Amino acid sequence: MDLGVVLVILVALAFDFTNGFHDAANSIATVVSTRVLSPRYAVAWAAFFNFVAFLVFGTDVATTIAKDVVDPARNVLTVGVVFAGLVGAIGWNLVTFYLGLPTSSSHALVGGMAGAAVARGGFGVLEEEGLRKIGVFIVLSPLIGLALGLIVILVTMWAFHGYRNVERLNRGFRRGQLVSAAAFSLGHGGNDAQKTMGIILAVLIGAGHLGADAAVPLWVVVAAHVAIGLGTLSGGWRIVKTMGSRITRLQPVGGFAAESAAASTLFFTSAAGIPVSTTHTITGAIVGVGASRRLSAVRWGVAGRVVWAWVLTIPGAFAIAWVSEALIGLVP
Amino acid sequence: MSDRRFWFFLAAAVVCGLLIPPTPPEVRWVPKLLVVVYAVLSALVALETLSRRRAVTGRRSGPSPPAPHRRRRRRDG
Repeated sequence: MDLGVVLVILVALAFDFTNGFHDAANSIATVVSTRVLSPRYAVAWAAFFNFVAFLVFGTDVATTIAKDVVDPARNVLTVGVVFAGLVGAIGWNLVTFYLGLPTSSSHALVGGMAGAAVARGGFGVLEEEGLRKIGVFIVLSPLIGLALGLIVILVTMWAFHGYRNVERLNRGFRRGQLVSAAAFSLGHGGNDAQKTMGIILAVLIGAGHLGADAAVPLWVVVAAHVAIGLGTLSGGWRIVKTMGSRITRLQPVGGFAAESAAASTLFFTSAAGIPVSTTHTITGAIVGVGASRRLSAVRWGVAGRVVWAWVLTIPGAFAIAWVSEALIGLVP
Repeated sequence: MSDRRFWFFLAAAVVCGLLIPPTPPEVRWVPKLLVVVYAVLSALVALETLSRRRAVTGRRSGPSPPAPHRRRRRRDG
């Protein structure tokens, strides 16, 4: 394996690490804000389930990233193009981190890959069907999360409305949140680690180490889950800005409902091979829980910024990756 | 409709409806199901708002409550 391939794999794993670092807040925010676990134990809990996700999910999302964004038959996914795509995704994440926009690493990755490939081979190299599926689910995944969040909270409220011992009920849902947070971390690990696997698969195919119809090697699966798990473990608790209280104030029952709804959305999309944003999914679910009371319970400013992130992420990462690939092309 | 949730859910149903044609056929059932879910949610909010409004109107136009009983002060002497 040549040095370029190793370098791109390391950058992809670093991207995965930052994904875990950044998105850990989504997995544990409600558990921490409702004081079910201390931040330190919460990240360990999330990291463990991020890691073991490889035992549960297949590699359909990885295959979508590797083969359904750019046509592998066109042979444009060289080491340089994949590297430029990663630069686009990481660059966009840094820009949005600076601007305080809730970005989606997944969409940045798709935009980056597409931008770098277009710079190399023109728009004809893009897979229209795959991009359409990803684009549609950028909008649908938060709406699925929202609807499920609302339904779960309404059903739960209805089921327990006659229960008088509120203290005991809250205690029950605090314990339930351990399960729902674990399920969400499992879904997060399953969906997000597979995006990195997809990138590594693409570069291995592009460099000729694997055939065009190859499956994801086991070492890639394990490495991607180790990277996302370590990312969650090492830094997530520092950037917990409690998604729960930023969008709407959540009680233990609300946290349980939001995480269960988001986890179900991630399980479904991972099984269907659709890369979605875990941030947008949990945001939709939290909005759904807040909307069960009244819409004014939702802080629409935060939800609106998520919509801006939808609109801007793919074009932003596309542009940075396009420029990166053009600059790499200038190097003799 | 005074409850903004009605318009929100209705808009979500319309968005999901618009996304049906570009969705790949194997997962087209997802936006279709969401259209139904959001349409039902907006209908439920509309019904809730109407029933609440009717209850308030009924309370206003109903018989006036009896005047509160006043205790007379006893005058001693």
